[in-house]
Amino acid sequence: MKLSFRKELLLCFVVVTIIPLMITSVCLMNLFQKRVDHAVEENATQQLYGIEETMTTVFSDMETLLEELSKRSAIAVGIATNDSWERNQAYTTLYEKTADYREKAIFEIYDAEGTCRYSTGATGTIGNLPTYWGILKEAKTHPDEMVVGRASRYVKSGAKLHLARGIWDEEDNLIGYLLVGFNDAQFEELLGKTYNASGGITILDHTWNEVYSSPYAQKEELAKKLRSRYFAGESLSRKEDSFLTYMEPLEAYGLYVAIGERDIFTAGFSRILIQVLIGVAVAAFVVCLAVSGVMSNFLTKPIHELTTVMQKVRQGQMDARVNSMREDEFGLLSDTFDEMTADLKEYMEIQVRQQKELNDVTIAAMQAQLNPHFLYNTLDTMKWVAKSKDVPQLANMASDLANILRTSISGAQFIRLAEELQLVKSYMKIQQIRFENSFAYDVEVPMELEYYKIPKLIIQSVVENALIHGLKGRDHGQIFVNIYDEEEILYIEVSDDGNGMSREEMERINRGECAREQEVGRRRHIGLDSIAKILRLHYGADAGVRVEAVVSGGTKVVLYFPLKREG
Amino acid sequence: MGVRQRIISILLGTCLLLCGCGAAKPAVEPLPEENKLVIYTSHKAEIYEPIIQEFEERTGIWVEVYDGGSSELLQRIAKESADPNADVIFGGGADTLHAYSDYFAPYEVKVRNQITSDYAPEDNGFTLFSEFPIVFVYNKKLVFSAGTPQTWSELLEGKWKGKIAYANPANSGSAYTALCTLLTVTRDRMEQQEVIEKFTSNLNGKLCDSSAEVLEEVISGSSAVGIATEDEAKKYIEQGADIGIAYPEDGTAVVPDGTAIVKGAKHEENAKLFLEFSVCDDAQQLLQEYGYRRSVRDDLKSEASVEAIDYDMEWAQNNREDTLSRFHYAFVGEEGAQ
Repeated sequence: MKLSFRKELLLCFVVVTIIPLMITSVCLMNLFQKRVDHAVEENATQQLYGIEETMTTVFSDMETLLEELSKRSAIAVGIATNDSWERNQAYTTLYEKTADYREKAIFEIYDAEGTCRYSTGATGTIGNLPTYWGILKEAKTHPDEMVVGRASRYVKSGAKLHLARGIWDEEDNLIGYLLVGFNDAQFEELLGKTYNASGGITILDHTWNEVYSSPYAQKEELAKKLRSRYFAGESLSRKEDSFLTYMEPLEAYGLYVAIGERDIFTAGFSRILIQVLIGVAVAAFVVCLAVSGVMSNFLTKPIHELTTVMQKVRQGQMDARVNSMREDEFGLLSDTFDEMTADLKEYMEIQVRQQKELNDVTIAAMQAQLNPHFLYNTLDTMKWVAKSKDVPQLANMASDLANILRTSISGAQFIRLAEELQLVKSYMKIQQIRFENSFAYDVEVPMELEYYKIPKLIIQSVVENALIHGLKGRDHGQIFVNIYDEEEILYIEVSDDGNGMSREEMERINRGECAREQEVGRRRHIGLDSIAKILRLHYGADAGVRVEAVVSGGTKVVLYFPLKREG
Repeated sequence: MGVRQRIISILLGTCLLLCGCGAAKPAVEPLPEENKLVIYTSHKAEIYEPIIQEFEERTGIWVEVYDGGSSELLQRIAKESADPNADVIFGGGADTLHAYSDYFAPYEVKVRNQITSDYAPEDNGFTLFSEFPIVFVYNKKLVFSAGTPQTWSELLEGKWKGKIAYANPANSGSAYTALCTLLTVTRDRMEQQEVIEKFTSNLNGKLCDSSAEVLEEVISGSSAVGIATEDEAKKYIEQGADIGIAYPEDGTAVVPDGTAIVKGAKHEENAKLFLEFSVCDDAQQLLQEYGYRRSVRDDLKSEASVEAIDYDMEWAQNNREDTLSRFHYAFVGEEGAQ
């Protein structure tokens, strides 16, 4: 009972603490995530605009520059010539014009065959480029335009992106190409400040092939992931990514810029959050467990105490009290219970006293059912008639019967032991005449016990019982009455050597049960039951009747009750 | 009613909070299927990247590339034949492709009549792409010009013992082709077993893991000569390596590689475009100028052709296991004898 109460309490605590905690946490987590996502998105959009602006500025500057260079005669002359002065003029023009941008890009001039003639690169002119392929072909097919293209793998300058423009002479003959190359370091220089160091960017060409990736984007293979996801028709972002992706086309140049913003809400971070949440929930559960234990103890202890005391009271211990020290409702309940028990005890004592009085009345009524004086006088008359007619046996019988009757009709419920024994002796005498002296009767009683008072007729009833039932159908028999005391208890043993009593009968009497009505009628054993009842009424639980089987045959009935000198 | 409505709105709000994840991401039009092409390639990036980049540039088709070893990719194609992922297999020797021709959809390119190589399949199951003869490379510092190896049989002589860099034929397709070439050119004079024993004895217990390592061995001078493919050697020479190329006088194998359309390809029209592109003038020219390969087109061949032997592709393919095991047995025996 205590446990189940505790469980109920625990459940209540869990419902009111952990569930709101979980709901709040999940809500907060989602809110937080949305907020962060929003902030990241805003930030990324800002960065994308920044990148777009920077690149557009640089590219349009380059466009102007390339257009100007393509119209410079020194360059046009320089492409074809091997004259060192003219070459020097061409280089001077190239360096002057590109002064502001040389850090940001490498400028190269190719002739119509794709041979590199001039380069601002540190290593000088290197290699050729095909004019039927790639960026130079694009420049060739788009006159008066700047073309943009991802640098091919065979480009030896290390450039990743090329801007190119063809150079035409007055007769509209293609005489060469201007080429601007951006390598990784230059991209980093150009764009390094436009995005957050925590994330990374990648620049893609029009078919989303990687042109440039910042170190973080390289590490995360951002370009590769985006392309293969787009190709497969999947969403560009995935849950397991450690970054959030945002993209923006640079339409004028056929390029795309993508930002991989490091995701704060990675799977790992979410896991940590969830772990913390679970940790808090577990802690809350432990607290709930402890508090529910203490609370249930606090609440159930007085109930338990009360229950224990109630149990005692039910078993008859009317003196049991709770004596609670508490001053709350439980204290009030306990005190009320104590008072109630006290009242109940008092009431019961009154009840018992009244019942006893009632019993006394009942016994008196039982003992005086016929006007005994009439019988006694009749017997006395019979004795004298018998004597005058010289029938001594009748005279003796009448005398004994009168004796018995006198004792039995006297108002006292208690008589001295000696008087009772005298009565039994008279009774036996009558019976001996009736049964022609075939029974021996003997009494053993210490002299000092003869003055103790006992309820009258109890020994007579037992002896009669022994005579009528124990020795029924026998020619000879013996009845022996032995009286002794032990520790203030008087014992009266009535033994016979007759038929004995059935085992169940014996046990029934020893248990103190009354025989059922029909059994009473058949066996006529009312005597022992009544005696036990009378003894208990007078003496309480210390008195009673016990029946034992005698080993040599027969029955021994023992009456016991406290010694009482005066009735 | 008012209370109920309020409760419902609170509940809805909570639900939104609970489920509300997944931010708006860049919305892009999905790529239409007719703009896609999936290519499995065994070429090195420096070969396939420029070709595919230019193809994308010119056609607007998006190409998804998976690179790997040719046998691995062909096995994958065979395994996926019920529902092919790849549209094109780009690369792989003619001998290897030949073995998988069941999985290819024949296609005749427009310039087919310019490709007259013996290796070109008659049913056009695949289309040849480039040639790269097997050559000798030598370290110019260690081998003076008159003393360069001239013939395959010369490699069996004692003077090259311990000086030859050769890739493990089990790992490198070109090394196995070289081994078969050696057996072919010497078959009139010597038993195969004798050739294998003499050759392994000259290797002196040294095998390289890859053909790239052969070049590195020769460049570093650890080996005086090596057996490699022409394009690989030219690439290193272009980068400034001080090595020379010697073409065997008794002929060498020129096994071309090829391109094929996978049977049941989902983007077959694009695959056809790619096959056409792979043998078009520009691509073949780029291949010669920047890929150091030889063109398979007769009208575009720029270099003097090498002395090609009659390489028995079928025999090489069918006796691969046997030849390799004999080689390794002899090789290990040689090692054990030391």
